[in-house]
Amino acid sequence: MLERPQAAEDDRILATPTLIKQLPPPLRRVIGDLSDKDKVLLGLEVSPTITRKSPESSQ
Amino acid sequence: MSAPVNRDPVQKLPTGIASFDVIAKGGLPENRTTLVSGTAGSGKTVFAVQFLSAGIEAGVGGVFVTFEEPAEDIRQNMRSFGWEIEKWERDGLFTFVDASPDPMIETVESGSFDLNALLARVENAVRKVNAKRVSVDSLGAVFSQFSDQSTVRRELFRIASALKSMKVTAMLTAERTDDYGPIARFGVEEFIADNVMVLRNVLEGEVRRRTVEILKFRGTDHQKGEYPFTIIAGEGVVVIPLSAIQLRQRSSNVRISSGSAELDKMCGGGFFRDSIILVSGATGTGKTLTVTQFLRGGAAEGERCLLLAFEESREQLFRNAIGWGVDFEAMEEAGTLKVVCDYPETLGLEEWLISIQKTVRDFKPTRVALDSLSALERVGSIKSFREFVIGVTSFIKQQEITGLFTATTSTLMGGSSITEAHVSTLTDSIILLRYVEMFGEMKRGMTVLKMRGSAHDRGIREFTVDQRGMHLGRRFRNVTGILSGAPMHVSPDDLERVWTLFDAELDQGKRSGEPEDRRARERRRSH
Repeated sequence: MLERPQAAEDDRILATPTLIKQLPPPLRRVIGDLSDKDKVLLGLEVSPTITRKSPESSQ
Repeated sequence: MSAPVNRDPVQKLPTGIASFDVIAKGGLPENRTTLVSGTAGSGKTVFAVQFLSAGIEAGVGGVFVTFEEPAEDIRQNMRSFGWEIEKWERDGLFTFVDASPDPMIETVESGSFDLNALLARVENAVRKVNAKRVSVDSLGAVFSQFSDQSTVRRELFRIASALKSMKVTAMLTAERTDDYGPIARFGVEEFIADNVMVLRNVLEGEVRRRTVEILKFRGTDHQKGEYPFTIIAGEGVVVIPLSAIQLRQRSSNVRISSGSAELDKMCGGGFFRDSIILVSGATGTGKTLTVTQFLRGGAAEGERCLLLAFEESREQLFRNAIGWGVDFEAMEEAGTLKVVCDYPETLGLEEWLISIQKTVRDFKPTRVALDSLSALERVGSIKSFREFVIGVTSFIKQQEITGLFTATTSTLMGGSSITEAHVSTLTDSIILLRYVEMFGEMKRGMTVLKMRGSAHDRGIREFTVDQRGMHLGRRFRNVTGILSGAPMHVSPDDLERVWTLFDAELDQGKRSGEPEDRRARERRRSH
């Protein structure tokens, strides 16, 4: 980021660190050091799938 | 080597914003951060863009960091002020750091973060256009983009100090909820910046009044208190400095003619070149006539005269002038006169001041007449009116030209107007025109109440008006109370003598008439 500030400009990033999920859409961003796992999963929209899947797989 | 004594170690950067540098005593402190706080619609963004625009005009690069409006909106909104942001961008003098929220991107916060990416972008932008000026609009919007407020606070402090080390002069805007309340919404903004300015947009008697106040300039001086400003198309923010310009007035001893030799004599030889004269009187006492003569006097000497008329239409004024033997049309053709007629209500007082200043600068007259100040009185609050009068009088004095203002008193016989109360201390000369009711007749009286720096006739003189203008007659002797509006002659026994003082012809008529009446009455009685 500090080496290529233009990249941050192009992607309009403010905070570091920022994790960007581009695919599959929609575009999601998670900022911070990812210490809060639930928030990360929520932010990347992966957690609902996991919670739904896990009961299914156990059955 | 003796180092010069540095009285003001903080260098000021002239912003280039009209008159703001006057109240800032030179400009914004250089290489420091200044907070501009204001309520919604107080003009923060315009101020922030204009700060950069003024720099760009001088070839200095600028960076605009926006947290609120998208860059494209700002480009569009600022076009009405004549600021072509696209052109500045093409010329490599200006760049945006667009940090406005993107509604298409959802952001989640997970754990601690910093705003290093933003800082890197600002540094990159400053390098790219070699910026010396940076505007950040607004700090409040940064708080609303993130939920972790303490992080935002810490990061803003860091960005502010980074801006200082980048050797740029920065203007940071902040919102406040109340025009007279806490400096800014989040309570920390004022501590982030070195200097604090407040923009206000107060509703006063159904009229909006904008003011700018410099609250603090760390380690350097500034004018204190609120100064009115206005935002106008094509120019942006224009600050109206009040006390500031008065300090620089000089005064001259050159006399000019009032257009009437008799009035000149009363004033001790004419008006002073750079003086302000107030002519006050009730409706129809001869104020516009005094103005007309003043303009004729100027034109006769080949001077350029400007008439700002707010009471009568152009046609009316020209017709009246003809009635007094003055041809305004010929004067305009000769280029010695410019008549500007307008309804007072078309602009606010601040805009009037700017517009008058512009007209004077463009036409470069040596005489300015304004008929009447009282007509402008109703446009704004008393406070704005007072500021307008201060602004216009000090501007005229600064130009070293002569200004003649008229004021209408509300009562026919005497008393004073609001205009008079607000203007009298600012004017050098005051001429009062009064109706004098004497023995069933309205006569007109004139007196020079004040003539700064000169002896003058202290009498109250009767005057008449005919097709050649104004003619001053004798003093109202033995009459007292003219100015208070209740004229009384002093010694009732001297009735005959008082009569002779006014009008010899009329007097004769009366005297010859009386015996006839008496004879007629006697005849009737005898029948």
